Amino acid sequence: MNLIVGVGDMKVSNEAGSVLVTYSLGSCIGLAIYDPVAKVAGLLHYMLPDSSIDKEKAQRNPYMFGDTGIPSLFKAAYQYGAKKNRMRIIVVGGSQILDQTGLFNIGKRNHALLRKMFWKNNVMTHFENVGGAVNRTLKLEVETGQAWLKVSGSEVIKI
Amino acid sequence: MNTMEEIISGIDKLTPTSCVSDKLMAVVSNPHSSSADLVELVKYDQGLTVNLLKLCNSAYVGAVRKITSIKQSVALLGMDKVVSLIMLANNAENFRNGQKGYDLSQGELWKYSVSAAIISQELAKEKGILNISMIFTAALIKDIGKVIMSTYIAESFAAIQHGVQTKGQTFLDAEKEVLGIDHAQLGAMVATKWHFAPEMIEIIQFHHEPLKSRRMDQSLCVVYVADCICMMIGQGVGADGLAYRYYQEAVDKLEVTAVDIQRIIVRFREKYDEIDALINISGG
Repeated sequence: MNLIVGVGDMKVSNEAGSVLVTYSLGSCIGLAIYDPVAKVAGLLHYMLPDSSIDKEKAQRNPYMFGDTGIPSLFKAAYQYGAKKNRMRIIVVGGSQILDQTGLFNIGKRNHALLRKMFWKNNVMTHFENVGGAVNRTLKLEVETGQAWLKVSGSEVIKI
Repeated sequence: MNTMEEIISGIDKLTPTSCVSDKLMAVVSNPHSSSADLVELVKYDQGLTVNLLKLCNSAYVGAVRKITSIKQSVALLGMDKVVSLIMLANNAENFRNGQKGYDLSQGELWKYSVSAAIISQELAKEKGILNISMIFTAALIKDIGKVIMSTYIAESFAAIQHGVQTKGQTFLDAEKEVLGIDHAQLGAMVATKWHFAPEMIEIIQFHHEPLKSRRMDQSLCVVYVADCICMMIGQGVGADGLAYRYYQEAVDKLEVTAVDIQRIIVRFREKYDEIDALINISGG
């Protein structure tokens, strides 16, 4: 069964037979984590880097923002028995409109925030496909950890 | 007939906006139209009335009580909102099917178009810009050219993609180079045929390239910026991805900051479920 992760949303599952999927990542980031021992999969689709823009809304829905969504994703996976040192981590998205600059470049800022948080917390990514002017869809199978990426204008690839 | 002529002839295969479309366009384009004009226009069209009332009572609109007549809808929601809802009820038909050339499945282009129209409306309100109904409608219809272009894009996708990936072209430029016409230009031709107001035609034609418009007025900039926001959010975006150019000048003209843009994205997310329901009710 497909468990759809909407925009500004997160799902964690250990149900064999389920596939986590998030569609149409533009400048948003899709962060998928998988523990092959606990067979726990998690997928976050965040829209903006920094929750200081609206702390009240971030409390209601932490998955909209990277700085609140990323810790929430890891914590939720730990509750299912996942361990950080076993995790396989996939990062996709962070696209930009051509010539998009500075503070308006939300895609770049979304990815920079993730890099910074991972560096601080000593987290390594195993696969990244970020940037460019493309749209992406990401799928992650709970039982096997097999992931698929569809980049707009290209065929689906196995990760 | 060459490819470009063949594409243009596709305009006649679209369903015109509605049987009351000409009059509706006159109401939309004239900021001095009265609510009585609007009620008079809609009340004899039973199908439209039924659809309109469904939308008026949707969670997105959030009316305080059940709306049972057109007159009541205008009194409770105001002209701008009702005109926007009429446009939603009237235009889904052309957008409903998938557009394979753009890798869009059923309902996706409608979802994108409604989102762009709603964000345009909010941005216009925030900036105190008049003619909100006109802006909403132009934003809703701006990608109608894609509906016609889709088949031809599918046939020439490799060449278009080559232009984007290796020549640094926008998807729009690549469409034009390969097919002789782009979806914005074609959309403007549709709007002309449907007797849209000149301002609306201008918005549709230049919604990806506001600097090419001689006027480059605030209405156009609103739709341009809203479209950029929608591309960034990504829902309903197809094979063209975000391969369009960013113009800081249009953002500056509206005096929109990076914080404003992020707040709009947050607000959009908060209303996402209601907007989704609105899209479904309107028939996408």
